[in-house]
Amino acid sequence: MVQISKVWRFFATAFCFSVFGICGILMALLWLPLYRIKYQDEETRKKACRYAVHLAFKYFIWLMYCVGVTKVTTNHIDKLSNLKGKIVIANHPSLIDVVVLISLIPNANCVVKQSLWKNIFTRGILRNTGYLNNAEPQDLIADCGDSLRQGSNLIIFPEGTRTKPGSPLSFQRGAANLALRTGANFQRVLIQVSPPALTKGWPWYKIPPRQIHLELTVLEEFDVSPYLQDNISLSVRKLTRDIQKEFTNELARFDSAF
Amino acid sequence: MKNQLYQQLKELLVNYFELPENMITQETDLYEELELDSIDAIDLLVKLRELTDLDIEPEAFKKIRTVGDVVHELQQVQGA
Repeated sequence: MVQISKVWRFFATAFCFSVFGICGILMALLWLPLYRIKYQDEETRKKACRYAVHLAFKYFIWLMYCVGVTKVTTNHIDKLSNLKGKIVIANHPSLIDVVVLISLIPNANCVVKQSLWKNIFTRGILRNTGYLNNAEPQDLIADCGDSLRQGSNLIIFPEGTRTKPGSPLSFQRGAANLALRTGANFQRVLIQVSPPALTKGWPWYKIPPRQIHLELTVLEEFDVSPYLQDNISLSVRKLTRDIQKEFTNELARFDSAF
Repeated sequence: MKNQLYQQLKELLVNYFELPENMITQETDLYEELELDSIDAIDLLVKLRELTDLDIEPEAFKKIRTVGDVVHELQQVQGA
């Protein structure tokens, strides 16, 4: 039985990822260009494109659920519904974390790594959305600040890359730098994946014994204002340590209940 | 002069970046060993300017790897 389910999910996963790639190209060719006619204002158009991606990801997550590859459940998701100008920080256990987060946050922006700007399946969309590129650190903070002030929510994985399975969380200082240099608060989201799958270095065709269950828990907003002091380099280090510790504790608590 | 610049840089790294003094030598790599990131590098550049009145070009700073490189670059600017 497990074998049949695995074979099914192998083909279903291949199907879903193909759909993802093909739709990426089709959206960039057929859907998003229409927004160039509909919206004259550049920022309004980009915002509409980001909303289109939000909808597309919602359908993608629904598709993955329908064919039995993944299942997403949430706790306190209402905290995300009226979110404005926050830095959404989450741990990063799996490949599809950002897809799930964007599918749940209508006005999300994110920083996208260089390789995806070159990837044929994603670059067309990225050029339309106003998502940010991590190539230039100094401009990046200013660009993130603009986006937050316009009311977008910025998704950041403080680990910088997917968690190495079995290793403790290790946060880089980018998220804290962003918060303290823009004054925006954190909205924390815990992501738990069971059974482990699509982790770092995990090929897509390695099919886990069960459907992949992603559980998202939205925590309280984290106020960064107590950290806004003169010496920003030191504050950034303290804030990074504190959020890393909180995520580690919350995940341990969550693990034992999951 | 070189020694004074080195001392100033060392104090900066200890006071502003929480780095233990005994980790810092001329050969210490700023990024690999002291784990500074790109934003820290920009901050360090700004602090150095405030402290020494010497202005390292961001382009020149990109090539810098070690503590000694920074001191060397400051000397170059000072001599120019």
